[in-house]
Amino acid sequence: MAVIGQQAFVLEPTSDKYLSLVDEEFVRKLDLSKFGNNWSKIRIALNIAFDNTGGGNLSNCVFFVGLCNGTTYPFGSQQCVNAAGYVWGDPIGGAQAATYAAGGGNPYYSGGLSYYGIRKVGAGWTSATVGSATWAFPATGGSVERRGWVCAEIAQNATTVFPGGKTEPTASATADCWYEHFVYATNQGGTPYVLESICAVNTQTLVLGAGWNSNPLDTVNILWRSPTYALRIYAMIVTITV
Amino acid sequence: MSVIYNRNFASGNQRYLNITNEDYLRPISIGTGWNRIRIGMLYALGTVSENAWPIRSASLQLGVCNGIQNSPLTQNCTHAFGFGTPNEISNTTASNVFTYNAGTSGNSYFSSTAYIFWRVAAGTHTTSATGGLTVTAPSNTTLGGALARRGLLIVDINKSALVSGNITQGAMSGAVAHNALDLTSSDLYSALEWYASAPTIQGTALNFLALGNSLAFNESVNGGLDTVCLTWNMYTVPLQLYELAVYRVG
Repeated sequence: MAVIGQQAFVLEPTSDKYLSLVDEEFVRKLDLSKFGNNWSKIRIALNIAFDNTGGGNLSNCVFFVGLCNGTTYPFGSQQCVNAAGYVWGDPIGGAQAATYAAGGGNPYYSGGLSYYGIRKVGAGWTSATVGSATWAFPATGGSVERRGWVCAEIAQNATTVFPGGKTEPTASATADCWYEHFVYATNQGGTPYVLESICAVNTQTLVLGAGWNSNPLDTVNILWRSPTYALRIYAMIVTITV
Repeated sequence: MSVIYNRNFASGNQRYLNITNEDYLRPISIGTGWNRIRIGMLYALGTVSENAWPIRSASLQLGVCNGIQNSPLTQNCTHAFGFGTPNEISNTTASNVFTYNAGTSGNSYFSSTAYIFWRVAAGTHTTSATGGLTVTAPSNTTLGGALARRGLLIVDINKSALVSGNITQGAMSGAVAHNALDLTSSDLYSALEWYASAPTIQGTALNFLALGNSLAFNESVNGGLDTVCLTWNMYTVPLQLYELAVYRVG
């Protein structure tokens, strides 16, 4: 069951609460009452850390950040109504492992996971991976406790969805992306910088045809699939462009 | 939400509006009854956590629009004209930056050579950016012995006729040397009234771009340009607005 924990940091917030997910899914419906489905882009940014394995790779890891329709049948459901976003890891078998990097005493994970812009209905999905990016997710612990920056950006039109993923680079994963820089990175369009290091960015185009979004994407959806290690979510920002 | 603070300068205390990812709109008393106006402001920009870093994806816009319900930030803005730096409002990649400069004696400032004159008509953005202008803005920091400083930015908007025709626009900004000085209200008013060429303020000419970048306008179709609009898009790096003044040239 998801639990709330608390962690001390050097930088603000110096005592930060987090939501811990272990093989679980978080969904939260957005208030889109002002404009319904007529949005062009939604950006979901997370201030996160993965549990520290203590040196080994983080096995059976799947991390999805995106949107779904309602809270009943999200991305992880075999009856998923409609979901789109960015996924790190293999959503079918989930047998991939995020590669551990020592980071000079401030460990992080980078590599080892496939990555897709993805759209899912039922148990099937459409996905694409064009181009490459070097992702980075900080691990808990280390010389300095750290929070990282991860973002999914989903743009849509009548026939197409453009799911993109962004993370901080390895250069900044050894430092704490504290609150002000979390907001500052999310504020930046295009390819953001975290702690003045350029982020990893990848965007896909999925041409689905008219009516693809008749079950509107109206709910934030985060899936974490590791039965052993937790995902910590310290903060979340959702920005909507109509 | 914008908040009012105050700050001490060598010339005395002044209040300012702290703007973070917001717009400020104010109808002007002369309505649409102008052929040429200058809109000027005294301001300073925050730093990125007191670091010597650029402000990325920044978008500062100053101009006029049709009433307070038609901010150029809205998707359905009926009519607006203005000047933007370093990124225009509708720029989705937002790759231009306000470059950090250390300045002298701690008086750091930001600069940008990227700017755009824009028009919004019935929700559609049109831009023009010929010529050359470097915009500079003092930082709000007083670390390293820096002075508390205000800088200025002026936009010049000229209609070819009262209701429809073409609008040409120009702009002025403090030069590099001005960022080691505190510019005051009287400096702003002097610059607003000095419209023949680049005004000299505290012994140094402002960076100046003459009227140009013509874009068509029609107030009968799209609504009267009767409201000053200022927008700043950064959450964590504030724009401190000390003064906003409008001068009717003609």
